[in-house]
Amino acid sequence: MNKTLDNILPMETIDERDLHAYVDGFLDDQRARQFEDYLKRHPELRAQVEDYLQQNRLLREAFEPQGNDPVPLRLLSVLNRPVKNIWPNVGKIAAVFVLCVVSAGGGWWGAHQNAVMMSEEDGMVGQFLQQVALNSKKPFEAMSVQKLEINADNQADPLNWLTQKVALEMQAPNLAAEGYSIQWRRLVTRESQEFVELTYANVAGDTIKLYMKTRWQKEAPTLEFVQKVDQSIAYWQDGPLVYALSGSFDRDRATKLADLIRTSMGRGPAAEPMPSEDLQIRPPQTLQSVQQPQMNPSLVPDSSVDQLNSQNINATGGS
Amino acid sequence: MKLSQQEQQEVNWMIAREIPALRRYAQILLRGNGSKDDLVQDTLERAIRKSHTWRREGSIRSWLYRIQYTVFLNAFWKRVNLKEVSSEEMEKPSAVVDSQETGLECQRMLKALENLKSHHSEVLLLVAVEGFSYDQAAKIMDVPVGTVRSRLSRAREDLRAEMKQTTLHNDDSQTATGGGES
Repeated sequence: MNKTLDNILPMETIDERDLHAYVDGFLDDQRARQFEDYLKRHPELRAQVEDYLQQNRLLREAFEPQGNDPVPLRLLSVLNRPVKNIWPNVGKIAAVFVLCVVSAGGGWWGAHQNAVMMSEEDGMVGQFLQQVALNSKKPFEAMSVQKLEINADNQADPLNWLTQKVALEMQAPNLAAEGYSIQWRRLVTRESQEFVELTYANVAGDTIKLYMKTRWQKEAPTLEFVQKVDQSIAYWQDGPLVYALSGSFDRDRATKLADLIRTSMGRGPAAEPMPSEDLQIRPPQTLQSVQQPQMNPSLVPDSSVDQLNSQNINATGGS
Repeated sequence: MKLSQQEQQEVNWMIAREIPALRRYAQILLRGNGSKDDLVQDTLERAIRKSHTWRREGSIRSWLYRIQYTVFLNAFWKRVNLKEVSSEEMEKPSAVVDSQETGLECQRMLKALENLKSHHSEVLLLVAVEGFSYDQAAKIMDVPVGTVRSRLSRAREDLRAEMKQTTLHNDDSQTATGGGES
């Protein structure tokens, strides 16, 4: 049809590179027009090109809708994690952990300063913390972790699992009053020990974790507090559960958070006053009965649950 | 060299924009054999750790895809193969296709795609669906560009043959059905 084009694009120069580049839109306009003219004289090749174009179209139709699916919050949360290690210098922590008992000073905890030291009673909390430590020590692949993702009807919420365990309605404690919002929650299983891990973060990127495990305790709860530098664990038993809170906080903060958690879980009086600022601290004593947890910097949450409407992002192209 | 907090936030923002594409690519890689979000989460965690290595050369998407492909090859695939995947976790690509008329063609295409060798279909999808150039696909998969071209060619050829086969099969079925009615 066009001798000039035939001269520019003789048959022998056509090879598969032109074919695929045309199908994928990588030929410049002039070359594409030349190739199309060539196709007019080669119906078999044209049929092949049309099939390949159809393949591309169908594949895009099949896969593109997935770019509009809601993005789970846990994926976005990965990007919001503080870059700094939650547990720096963890190797040193185990050797010098000191247990302090938060006692007098108001708030719910202040009223129960004579409660029995539960870790010395039966070591359950110690075992629990060991579990936490063991879980954080091992690489994720070696752990028996049940990843749960909350679906539309919320059936997979680890707190539902907890609710079933203790036959009480369990919800994630609302720590908004202390500036924290929930980021991830997961049910972790190791050997026969199962517990729920909730991760909270504030706008500054500070993260705290709350662990909850079933354990019936009739006695009044006592808050126990372990601190090394700026890394702390506060833990207590309350009714059917053992709670452990980890993060970077001092005793006052731990007490406030624990009070808030207790109130939020419906375990404390609604009008519970917050602990006063002049909280009196019992002199610290060395923790002997509790095996010291060995925290690992790799302790990061691996699962979360909430769904978030995705941003509509044009996921095609990108080259 | 570590990024400053502001640089890190900026990179994180860019990465966040790519999550939907990463989820789609995870679906492509896994072919229904695991949770795409687990793979994406592993990818994001690695990307954050390695974010200082992104030199702002080329698109961040191709950088992320390369990470995801590496994660997939190195660890995830082994884990997925070893563990039992619950029915909830199974995310078959065909599930994305609705029952519209065009969806039926897509279903045929996806069915045919399942019969391709994985490294053939992966190249095809990187180019056809994600729109990467051959050079970018080569970087993502860490193979020479010539390999990308040959895999692409083979994938299209095989897919075409598969589609023709299913067309013939469907035609035969319809003929048999139609013959009974007439």
